[in-house]
Amino acid sequence: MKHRMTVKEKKEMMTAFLLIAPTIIAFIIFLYIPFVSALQTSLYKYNGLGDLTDFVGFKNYMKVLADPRFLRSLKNTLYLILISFCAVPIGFVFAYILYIGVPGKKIFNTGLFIPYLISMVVVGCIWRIIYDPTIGPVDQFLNMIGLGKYATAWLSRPETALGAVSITWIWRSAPFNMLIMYANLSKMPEDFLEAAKVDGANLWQKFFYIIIPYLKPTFGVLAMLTVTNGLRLFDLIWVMTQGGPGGASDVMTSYIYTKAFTNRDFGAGTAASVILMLIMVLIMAVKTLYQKATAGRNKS
Amino acid sequence: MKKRILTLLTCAVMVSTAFTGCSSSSGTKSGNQDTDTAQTQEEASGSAEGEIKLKVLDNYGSMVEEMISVYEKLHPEIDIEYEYIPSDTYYSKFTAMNVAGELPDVVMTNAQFIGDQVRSDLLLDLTNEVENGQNYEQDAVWGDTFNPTLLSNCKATLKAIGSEYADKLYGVPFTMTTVSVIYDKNVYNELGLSVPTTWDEFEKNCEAIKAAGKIPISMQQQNMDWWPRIFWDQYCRDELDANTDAFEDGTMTFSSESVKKGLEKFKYMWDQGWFPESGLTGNRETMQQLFVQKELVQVMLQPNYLSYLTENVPDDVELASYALPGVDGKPARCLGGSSSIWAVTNSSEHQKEAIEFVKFLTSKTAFSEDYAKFINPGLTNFELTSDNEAMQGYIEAGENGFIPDIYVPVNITTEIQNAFLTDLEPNYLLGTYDLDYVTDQLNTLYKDTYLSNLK
Repeated sequence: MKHRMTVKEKKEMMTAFLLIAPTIIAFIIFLYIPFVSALQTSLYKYNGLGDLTDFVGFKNYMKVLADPRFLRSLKNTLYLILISFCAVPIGFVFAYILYIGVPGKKIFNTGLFIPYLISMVVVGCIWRIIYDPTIGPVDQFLNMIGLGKYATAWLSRPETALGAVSITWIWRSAPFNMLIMYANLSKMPEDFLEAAKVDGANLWQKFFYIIIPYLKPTFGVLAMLTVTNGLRLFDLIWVMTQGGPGGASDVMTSYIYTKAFTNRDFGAGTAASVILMLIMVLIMAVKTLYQKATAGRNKS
Repeated sequence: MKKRILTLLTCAVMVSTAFTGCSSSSGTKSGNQDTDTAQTQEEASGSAEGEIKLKVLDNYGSMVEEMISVYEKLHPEIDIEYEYIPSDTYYSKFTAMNVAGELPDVVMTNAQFIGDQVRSDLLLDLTNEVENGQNYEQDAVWGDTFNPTLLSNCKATLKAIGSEYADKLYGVPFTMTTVSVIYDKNVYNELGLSVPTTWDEFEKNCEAIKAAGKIPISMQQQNMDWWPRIFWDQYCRDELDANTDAFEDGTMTFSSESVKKGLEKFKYMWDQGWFPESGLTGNRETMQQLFVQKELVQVMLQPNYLSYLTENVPDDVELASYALPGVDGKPARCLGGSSSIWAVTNSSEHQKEAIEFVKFLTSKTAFSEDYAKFINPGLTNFELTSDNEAMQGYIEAGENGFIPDIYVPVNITTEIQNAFLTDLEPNYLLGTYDLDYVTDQLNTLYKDTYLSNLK
């Protein structure tokens, strides 16, 4: 039987609508309208100036998908995401060290968190100097310990550029992961570990049967953030290599920027950004489906 | 009732907070046309009575700011709102301003951007004013005060976008950008080097510097086309002087021997280890830092970036400069020319005042001040003298004239230029692409992005 809303319920509903209206309006103006506009732009040949007049249909999409640089940037983005998962266990190790307690814990905590507080552009500038083959400490150190044959221009060699940027990215994101996991570990009831101790569990057993399962939802969130942050990463790449040398460290965002603002091909640039958005939506959909399936299994 | 009022108030506050800062002058355009115009004029004219506000977008830097303060003192009725934007983000800023309908009155542009800006009808045609109007000092025709090569470079830039723009001027050149080699005299003395007057001597110097464990000469990502352009000016000059349309009519292609020779010479220098490896991803600042740290011995630089070196080099460094000799023995022309261009926008409500301001920026009055000591204004009525030894090379560099902005046309369209700079050139140096692949790609891009548009 259909439920008829009472006057009170209607008022409450109205209040709710009124309260969420500003957010919805802001979403429409700042998200959906630009998105529709981007979709429209991606169907035109457009240099960013003047009006959209030269309709080309899906040619921009075809052009982007056939561009080897786009495919390379997609591959590099996926590589960067995969490698940046390393920041999760690194963050976990530090969080665990903090959790079990070390002398000078507060200083240790603050020191570890500093990389996350530095602006990405500054991080890029610092690491560009660190990797410099002439004045950078990495190569100087290698030379000092007799491994000079491995010293190289880390950011200017196609085989090392993306890896070097990845290390910086891990260095920058591990503290955030550490903080989230430490916050969650701190909330873990002490009884869990005490009960395990009473049952005679060793360190590894505590680790694998209590701590890891307890942090599983946190790992899920961090994994999601790792993927989305990796897909959106731009400033670090741009400051450190500008996608070079010769496109070796191009990621999707730097490809989009280059297409739109350097090549002034806004049509192709927006087409690439729509593709990036579709990839993000796809990842979100897979994640949601996985979560639903997991929740279903847990219920049954 | 109280609850509802509270809810409404909360919503109102949230909405107003969310949109704080989103208002712009365009938001006032309501009501009848007269009110609208008056309001807009009032906004554009500034708050003080009779004061005219000019907005200026620039990517040149501090010298322009100093020029503006001089101009404001000379013309108290003009209030200039200045905005500096670095070159690498210039186009995105300009595009955003255009989309928002907030283009400034006066903009600094360059050969790379002006074509699109003119084609989109954003810039004012200054041809008549330059050719017939008086200069800022009112003692000559404005156009006659510019170095003729600079003006012809400005015109040649627009040739690429269509014959209807031939011989038109939508902007005027600002300074004569010259590029010369800065070096430390003391390092030269230590290594027993002398200033090269021939290419062979230059190469010998590079070998000696390399042997001493230093980096001989700079090369940075954003200007990676400099070296091939310098070589092409020598190797291709005979062919291109004989037929300036050689690429358009197919007499020359990127596969021509002289073009390949220029690229091969560049690769040879790279293979010798004469450039910093970090140049493939590093920028001008990286090169300046290497020079300041005395790791890089010679740096190719425009004079307006010289002040960084003079302010930061250690005390034992004695800066000097020389003009690069020609690789093929021909008189060496210089890179640069009209790489900075001042333009007035079509949307400006104070076009007359904006043109007057641009006349000032390109006048001997503006360049007579101390801030212009590292600049060659490129003006015929301004005699460039400098007792600064670091500036001597720049003065010499301009003496044989300039390499035309568009010569071997690797920069005739944005697509070719960017493919060349960010993909073909670095990968050629790294050995990922061979020479034939590079030239074939350039030929294809030239055909697809330039020749096909001509037809």
